[in-house]
Formats: sequence, structure tokens, C-alpha cells
Amino acid sequence: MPNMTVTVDGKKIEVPMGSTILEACTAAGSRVPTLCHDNKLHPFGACRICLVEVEGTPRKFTPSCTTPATDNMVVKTTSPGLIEARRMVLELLLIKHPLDCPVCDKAGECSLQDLVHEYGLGPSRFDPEKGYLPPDYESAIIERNISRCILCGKCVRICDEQNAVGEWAFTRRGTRARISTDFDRPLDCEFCGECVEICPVGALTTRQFKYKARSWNLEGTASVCNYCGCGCGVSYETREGRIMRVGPARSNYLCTKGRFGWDAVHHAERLTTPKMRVNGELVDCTWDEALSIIATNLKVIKSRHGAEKIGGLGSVRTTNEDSYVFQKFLRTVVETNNIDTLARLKTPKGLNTTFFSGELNKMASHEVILVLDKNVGEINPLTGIEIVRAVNKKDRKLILVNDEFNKFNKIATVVLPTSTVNALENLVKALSSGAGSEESKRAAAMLKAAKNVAIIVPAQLSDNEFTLIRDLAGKLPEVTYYPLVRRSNFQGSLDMGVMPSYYPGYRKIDETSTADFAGLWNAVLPETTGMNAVEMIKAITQGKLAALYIMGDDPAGSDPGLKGILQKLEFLVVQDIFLTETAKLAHVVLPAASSTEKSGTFTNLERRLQQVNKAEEPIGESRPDWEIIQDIAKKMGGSMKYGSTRDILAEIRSVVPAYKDLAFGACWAREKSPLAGMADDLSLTSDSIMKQEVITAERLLFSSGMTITRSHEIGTIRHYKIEV
Amino acid sequence: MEQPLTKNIRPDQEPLSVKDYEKAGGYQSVRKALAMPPQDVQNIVKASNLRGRGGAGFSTGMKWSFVPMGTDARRPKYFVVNADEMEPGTFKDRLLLEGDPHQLIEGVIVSAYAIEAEQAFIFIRWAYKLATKRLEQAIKEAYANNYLGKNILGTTYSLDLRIHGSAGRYICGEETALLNALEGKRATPRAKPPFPQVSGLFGKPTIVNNAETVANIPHILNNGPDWFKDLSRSNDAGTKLYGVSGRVKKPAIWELPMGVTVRELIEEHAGGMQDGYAFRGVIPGGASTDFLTPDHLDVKMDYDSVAKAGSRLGTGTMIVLDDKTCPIGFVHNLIKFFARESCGWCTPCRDGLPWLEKILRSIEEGAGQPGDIEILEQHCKLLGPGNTFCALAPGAVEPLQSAIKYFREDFERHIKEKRCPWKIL
Ligand SMILES: Cc1cc2nc3c(=O)[nH]c(=O)nc-3n(C[C@H](O)[C@H](O)[C@H](O)COP(=O)(O)O)c2cc1C
Ligand code: SF4
Ligand code: SF4
Ligand code: SF4
Ligand code: SF4
Ligand code: FES
Repeated sequence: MPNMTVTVDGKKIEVPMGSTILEACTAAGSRVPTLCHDNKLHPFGACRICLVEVEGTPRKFTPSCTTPATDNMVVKTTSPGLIEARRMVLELLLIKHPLDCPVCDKAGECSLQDLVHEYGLGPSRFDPEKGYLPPDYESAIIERNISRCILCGKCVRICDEQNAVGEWAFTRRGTRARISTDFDRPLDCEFCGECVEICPVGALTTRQFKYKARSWNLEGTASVCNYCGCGCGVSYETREGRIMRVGPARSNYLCTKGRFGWDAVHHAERLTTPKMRVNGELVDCTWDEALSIIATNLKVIKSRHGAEKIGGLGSVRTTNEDSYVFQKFLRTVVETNNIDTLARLKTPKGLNTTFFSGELNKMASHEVILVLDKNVGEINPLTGIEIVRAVNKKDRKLILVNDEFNKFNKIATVVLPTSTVNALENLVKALSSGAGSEESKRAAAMLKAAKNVAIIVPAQLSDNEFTLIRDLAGKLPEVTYYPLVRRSNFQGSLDMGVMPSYYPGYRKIDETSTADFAGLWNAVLPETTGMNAVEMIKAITQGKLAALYIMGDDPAGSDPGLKGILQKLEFLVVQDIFLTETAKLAHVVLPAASSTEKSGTFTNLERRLQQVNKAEEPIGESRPDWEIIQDIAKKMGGSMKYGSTRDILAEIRSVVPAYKDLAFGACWAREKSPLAGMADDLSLTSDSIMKQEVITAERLLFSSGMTITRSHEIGTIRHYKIEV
Repeated sequence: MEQPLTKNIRPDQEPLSVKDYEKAGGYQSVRKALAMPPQDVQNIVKASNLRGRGGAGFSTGMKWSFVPMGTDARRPKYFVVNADEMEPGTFKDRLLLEGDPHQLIEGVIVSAYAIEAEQAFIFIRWAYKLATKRLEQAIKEAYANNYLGKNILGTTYSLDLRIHGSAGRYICGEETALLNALEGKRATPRAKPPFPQVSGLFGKPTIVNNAETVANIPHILNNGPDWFKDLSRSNDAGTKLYGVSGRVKKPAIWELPMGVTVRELIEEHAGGMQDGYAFRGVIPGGASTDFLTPDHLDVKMDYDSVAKAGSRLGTGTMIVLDDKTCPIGFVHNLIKFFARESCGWCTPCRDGLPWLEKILRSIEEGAGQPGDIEILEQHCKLLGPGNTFCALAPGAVEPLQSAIKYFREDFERHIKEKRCPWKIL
């Protein structure tokens, strides 16, 4: 795009054509105060604090946020007149404002407070009119304090423009104008809290943070959300070492789970001590007792039945470091390849072989977005948000496959109201022969005309659907896939080799690779590949698996049918943050530190390496997973001696080529995987286990396995939900 | 003196039916326009120098010329008549709507054709029930006679025309708020650019014109731009509906050549002030214009002349202030209206106007404070053009700022004497 020259406060700068005056001022390093503007939103022009002077225009002042800059424009961002006008705007905003800063949770990070301070307003010349409206406590999670509202409309716009929910709106007019839901009913929305986040004042606040801390006493720790594969950057905000609030890192976005669901880790039922089974009962014990029992039992079972009768189920919520140590322990110390995660049952076929996700923040670079999973916004909320942003901000076209109705219908260019498999068949047909329904033809024409297309790949796929997607993509010039991935570190667990037939880095287990890894790890490795999760479960029923080590998963909670099977085990170790249904069956239960209490890395669905940083001390006696496993390994004669997660990551980098020079925040390239383009299928299927989708809340959006059920905040949502 | 806009209007009688209207020469301009390319219609209107009668006085032909034309233009395109007329003291459109609905419809067809619009709306004030009824009837007749609908008069041009009754808010008259209202949204203005000509109703190219503007179109087409210019006594072409209200002998509305003077209007047409009342000032174009004073009686009532005198022609319907009416009470009444009608979008108007209203009320009630006048002045400045999101607020403070200018002693007396000097009269 061509540039234009704008002079701001005497400084000449080049900005792209189409920039607003505000953007030019920012580029020139001149700060213009704003209240109703946010880069995420369309310009609004309501608060009128961002006025500037433009040379040679008849109008004295011009709002900078809504006015396009023009070539050779000369702008002044401050003058006595401007200061007077801005002070007046602030003075007007304060007429009705309650000025209850001492009890307002926004104090210290409130734009109104900051500007009033900056512009040095003294006592008001206007009679205050504190038309006190009682705060609205009716909704779950979010409280509304209308008296503090400055009507900037940010909440209204973010919920509409970014979320496509449109829960807030303005009602009434003039000085009685205010924001409201339909008929002032309690919120019935996604509860993402984005409106609270963007509110410049304390009009929208959360119950979770209410009176918890003054904002200036909070310390932020950048980390990663542990609820879904999007891996949103979070900032854990702590006071005296305890998390008080969670916000988005780099002000991108958080869904309700990421923003409010973290409180599960503060739940009273957290495991705080190791437990062992004595006379059929689980009783507290010391770490030394617990670890010795595990080491002894595993050694005995190994020598009595052989290592192939021991297995391990890993976690898709622990760090890469935990997963790496877990599989290495099983392979080098226990000497078995019976290693897997149950989450592979809930994975699209073709993930990491055919489907490598594009970067989420590049969604809008695609001319057409084809959504093949109507639940995209519920399974991977950020993916859903990026779709809405692409449509609403960049005018991208959206083809939606949806046999029901949801928020994406509101923004879709074409809706194919049928099942995914039917839609795919119709599209392939329309693309090859031009035949089909009006909608399919329109969609096909859009796909054909597009330079590039993003395809949202369902979280689960039948073989037929898989083939159809490949057929479809084969007819299009450029396709980026966005497969949906449910759990936070599922990708990392695969990368780390928590699979029975692959070493870390997707090295297929064979003679050469075994020799390589035996050298790398300086260990004797099992000669055969192991059993996968489905086979292990089956093996238990057949008496072919005697001991199982489960790190951070709850099979019995997800599929009650597994309870009876797990009870058949001679020895079951469960390491978790809660006494889950599975842990209740264990012989030894080990308290693990949560992801807020430890450091390490996650790899999200984009294959982005992300740093998880410890924000609070592990609760009770709980410890990071890798430390626990390393101690057991030591007791069993293994030679692990990592001092920190950094040591582990260094080893991962030396073992997994894709991680070798991978910077934090970068995504590893698909070419780095030996499986790229291969026919390998990393998903599992079973017609008996985990057949049911576990929805632990009313909506998939509020559900994320078992941990989320311990979130107090998320738990309040259902009580307020009303059917319209 | 020609009075093309009102020649068919018969006071206290039903308007002309389509047959009578045709007999009086009606709908000829439709035939004429449809026989030429739309661009030519635009050019004729541009050459006529017609300026918008909605208040701002923007050249109508120029406005039309911003609409993207031809096969590449986004469609449908819309033509909207602004008949919301809620400006205090203004009732000129009402006369045209009630008195000669076919004239308006004829104007709509020609205007819509000029911009190749396929859909037209008349956005009408909620309270104009009689006008709505008569328009509905006239539209029905126009459809029946193929002036509206598919293939008008056998040509390839088709137009659908509907009436939309406003929900009754002053801000609905502001053209972009009108478009929001028409879309079923909350009536708040939109940011400009994009201008409606490019992105208007439902994001499509749209022209919004005042009802009186549109009523002029058939006559311009029939008689040509030069005839139209000759109607006027000034640089601004055509005739204008002028109104006078207040304590004059014959408050009314007349169609007169553009450029008659304030004095002629008040003294000749309105018959002068009522006995016992003296002229103190006038707001010349509806409530949102600056006062003119006895010094301005010879100002011509056209766009440029009134602007030069420090006010605006606005709607051309004036409200006279007499010596027995308190100017503060007068302005307070207006500001109260504007404060109530503020849409609530932007800070200076939403929170500023109510507060202006409060100060004026307290001055009027004898509770004014020294310094109040300065605050009012400062605030009028803050509500100037550009400082607010739309033109409502700048318009609202025009009578106030000029009242302070011309009647400052009256403000000061209120404050000093702690009472309204007019109240005991
Ligand atoms: C607050 C406000 C109210 C308005 N009300 C009306 C109205 O009632 N009728 C009208 O024709 N124009 C009204 N206007 C002017 C319109 O915005 C617009 O300029 C006009 O309809 C354009 O028509 P014209 O070009 O034919 O004058 C109003 C403007 C503002 C700012
Ligand atoms: S919480 Fe999220 S979905 Fe709910 S109103 Fe706020 S922005 Fe909208
Ligand atoms: S609640 Fe907050 S974000 Fe919403 S309009 Fe009011 S001040 Fe703005
Ligand atoms: S979208 Fe996923 S990663 Fe982001 S906050 Fe929500 S659950 Fe966490
Ligand atoms: S000036 Fe602002 S608040 Fe007033 S009517 Fe216009 S947009 Fe609404
Ligand atoms: S920031 Fe520009 S008007 Fe609010």
C-alpha cells in the first residue's frame, strides 16, 4: 500500500494510506488520550477525548480516532484549547460518576481515573448528579455497575464484532442511555469476560476478583492456559504468591475457561499429600513411603511378569518436560513401550501427517474460511474468535457447515445446513461437475475463486470425511488446515513420543531408531513397539497388563465403564491434582503440582512452543510430575538427574530435531516431522471405550474434561442460564 | 409570482387524485426523465443549482453525483425521502406531504431514476398521521397507474416505494441515524466517511433528501434549470417554503422566491408583530440556528446571505422572539428539547446538554450564579462542529450562543436580580 506523509507535533512521518489520524499520531510517538477506541474494534467516535487540531480545516477540533489522515496533513495533539476541551469532556463524564474509586476493583488501571489525574481536574463546577443505580448482581461471573459506565460502547462492540454474540446493547437515549442485555435479563452468553477486560472503567467487573486485591499490588506471571489446544497466553496475576485474577497475555483473548476456570486449582479438594492403600482404604502417607512402594512394586512386577505387562498412560495437560520424562522413564527404566494417551481417541485422523495447523492469527489472510465443525467456537474458542475477526474486520468470506443454528450463522456468507459428510460430498460434486443445490454451488464458486482457503478440520473425523477433505483440497489452489485440538498439550505429548510406536520427534520405532535412542539415552530399550491405549485397556481385561501408571488423566471419570476394568489391575499408580474417579481406584496416589505451580513448556495446536511459568507455590506437598517420576526412576536404579525443566528442555532439543532451534513463541515447521505427508494415522478408534463425548457442563464451551468441573466460577454459569 | 410547489395545494381540501394531478400537468417529468439517461437527469439538477432544503443546503446534484453508477455499482441502491420534520417551529414538509402527495412521489421517481435506485422509502415523522394516510393512498394510485412498480410506463426502469413511519425521535431526522432506524437499529448517527452516497442503507449506495428538496425535482425537469434559477431573487435558485411563528399577526407558511428579506416575511407576509409586542429577534431556520436581531431585518433569506449575517437559513421557518418573552426562557425551552432528544452517543452532547439545560433553568428560576454565563459560553464552544459525533449538538447551541451574544444583559439581570424579570409582567 502506498504511504502518505503526515506531520504530527512537528514530526514528519510516513503512514500507510487509509490510516486514521490517531494511528498517525501513535506512529509519530505522540500520545492522544482515548476512551472509546480500541485497535480491536471499529472506530466509534463517542467519547470525544481524542480531539486534535488539524491545520487548515474549518473545524477547530477533529476526533482523531474516526478521521482518516490525508497526505500532507499537519496535526497538533496538544494545545491550550485541546486541553480545555478534554478537561471538559472529563468533567462531564464525572457528573454522574460515583467516584467510588476506593471500593472499585478497576482503580489503578482505570482510564477515567488516569485521565482525570493526568488532566488535573479539581472540584467539579457542575452539580454532581449521582443518580445511583444499584449494581446488577443477577448475572453469573460478571457484575454490572451502571453508575460507573461512561458509555464508550466497547463492551457492546467487542461482544458483537469479535465474539459474534452481541449480548450487550444500548438502550434509551440522551443522558438516560445505558448498556443493557435484552430486557435487562441476566447475562446468557459465553461468559468470556472480554467485555470486562475491555471496559475502561469499573462498570463491568468480575465476582471472582471482587475486593481481592488492589491492581497495583498484583504481580503478573506470563504463562499458558491449560484448557484447550489453542494455548492462549495468560497472565497469572498474584498477590503474595496466590493467583487473584487471570488476564490475557498481549491482550489477545481469553475464553471463560482460560479467564475464570483457573480457580479449579484452588479447589478445596486438591490432593495435598501422597496416599497409599492400606486395608482397602486410601490413607495419607509420606513421599518416601509412596515412592518406595511404587519402585518396589514395579520392580517386582517387572521381574515376575516382564516389562511388557506394565504400561503408562500420559497426560495431555502436563508440560512437554513432564511428558518427555514420563516416556523416557517407561522406556529406559521400566523398559516398556506401552505408552500412550487416551486423548488420541478424540483426535482427527490425519493430524500431524496430513493436517498441520496454520497459525491462528493468520486466519484473516485467507479469502475464504470453510468451517466443517459447527462446534469450532466451543471446542477451540480462540479459533472461533479468529474466524469472527477475519469476517468482521477483514471482510473474509465464511462457508459454514451447520445443521443447527449458532453464532456463526449470523456472520456466514453461505450456510450449508447439513452434516459434515454430506456437505463435503456436495462440495466435491459441485466443484467437479457444477451440480448441486444453490448453496453448494455458491460455496463451490467462492472456493474456486479464492486465492487461498482455510479449512477448519473437525475435532474428529470418519475415514470417509478424511478422504473427502483431501479430495476437496486437491481441487483448490492453496489450503491451510486448522484442525481442532481439544486439550492444551496434546500436540506436545505427541511430539514428546507419548505413543507406543514412536520415539520423541515421531521417529518410528525400528531397529535403527532404537539403536539411535539407546545411544542418546545411554540405556537398554525394549525391542518391540508397545500397546496403544485401546490395546492396554483390552490387555487388562485379558490379564495381560498387570500394572498401570497414569499421569494426569481420569479414564474412569471420562468413561465409567473403565472403572471395573482398572480394578482388575494388580497395581495402579495415579498421579493427579485431584482425587479423581480413577485415583480412587489406585494403590498409590501422588499429588501433582498444577500448571500454575510449575514451569516448563507446552506446544499448542499450532505447534507453537510456549513457556509455562510458575505463578504460585505447589499446594501442600504436591510436586511437578517430572520430579516425582525422576525420583521413582532413581529408586529403581535409573540415571535421571535433571536439575530443572531447563535441563529437560535442553535434552528435548538435542533429541527432537523440530525443537532444536525452536524459539519460544515460534511454531515448528511441518517439514521437520518425518511423518509429514505420510499415511500414518495418529488417531485411535475404539467401539467400546470413551465412546461418549464427555460434556461436563451445559455447553461444550464450558466443558473441558474433569478439571473444569472443579472451577467454582464456571460452576455458577448453569444456575443463571435461562432459556429464551 | 410562480409557486410551483404549492400551486396544487387547496387549503382544507383533499389533495389531488392521480387523475386530477395528471390533468394539472402531473407526472410529465417522469416521462421526460425516463426518456433520457440517468446521468442527464443528474446534470439538469446540478445545473439548476438546487440546494438541499433539509437544513444544510448542500447542492443536490452534487450529492447525487457521488453515487456509484453503472453495472459495477453495488446494488440495490436506495433513495430515501427525509420527511421526519421534527425541527421545532418547522412544518413546511407537512404542507407538501398533506397537500400534494403526488408531487412528492413524482419527485421520488425522477430522483431515484437519476441515481438508478431500485428501492425508495419515505421516512415520515411519527406524528404525521394525516400525511401518511394521504401518501399511502397516493402511492396506491401511482402503482395502479404504473408510475411505480415493475417497468414504469413501459420502460425497463422499475421502482418500489414504501413508507416507513418513524418511531418518533428528533435524531431520526439526521440522515445516518435515519438509515440506522430504517434498518431497524437504534437511531444513532454513523461516522462519516463513509458517506451514505457510497455506503448507506444496509451498506449500499443511498441518497437521503429532504421532502421539499424532492418536491422541486419534477418542476426542474419540466421547466429546465434556467427557469428554476429565475424563480429566485438571489444566488440560490428556486422558491422556498418560508414560515413564521411567534407573536406575529398572521403566523403561516408561504412559497416565495428564494431571497426575500426577513423584513418582508415578518412585516408583509406575517402582517407584522401583534399589537403591544415589539420585535426583538428571530431564529431564522428552525430551532437550531443563531438569532438574528433588528439589525438584520434586511438580510435576504438565502443560504449565503443568512450565513454572512452569522446564522443559517436552516429550514427557512422562523420563530420570532418578542419583547414580552424572556429570551432565557425561550432558549431554555429549546435546549430542554435538544437535551431530551440527544441520542446519547457522545459525551459532550449526552452529558453536556442536560447540564446546559440545568444552568439555564436555574438562571430562569432566579438561582443563577456569577460565572454561569462563562460556563455556558465555554460549553457552547465545546459543542461546536467537529467536537461532537453529529450535528445535533452544534445546532442545539446555536440559539444559545447567539442569545448570550445579543441578550447578555438579560442573562446578567436574571443572575443579579435573582429572578426572571419577565415573570412579574
Ligand atoms: C439532528 C438533526 C436532525 C435533522 N432532521 C432533519 C429532518 O427532520 N428533515 C430533514 O430533511 N433533514 C434533517 N436533517 C438533515 C439531514 O441530516 C440531511 O442533511 C438532509 O435530510 C439532507 O437532505 P437535503 O440534502 O435534501 O437537504 C437533520 C440533521 C440533524 C443533524
Ligand atoms: S462475557 Fe463475553 S460473551 Fe458475555 S457479554 Fe461479555 S463479551 Fe459478550
Ligand atoms: S460498561 Fe464499560 S465498556 Fe461498556 S459502555 Fe460502559 S464503560 Fe464502556
Ligand atoms: S481458547 Fe482455549 S486456550 Fe484459550 S483461554 Fe480458552 S480454553 Fe484456554
Ligand atoms: S451530538 Fe452525539 S449524542 Fe448528540 S445526537 Fe449527535 S451523536 Fe448523539
Ligand atoms: S477515542 Fe476518539 S472519540 Fe473516543
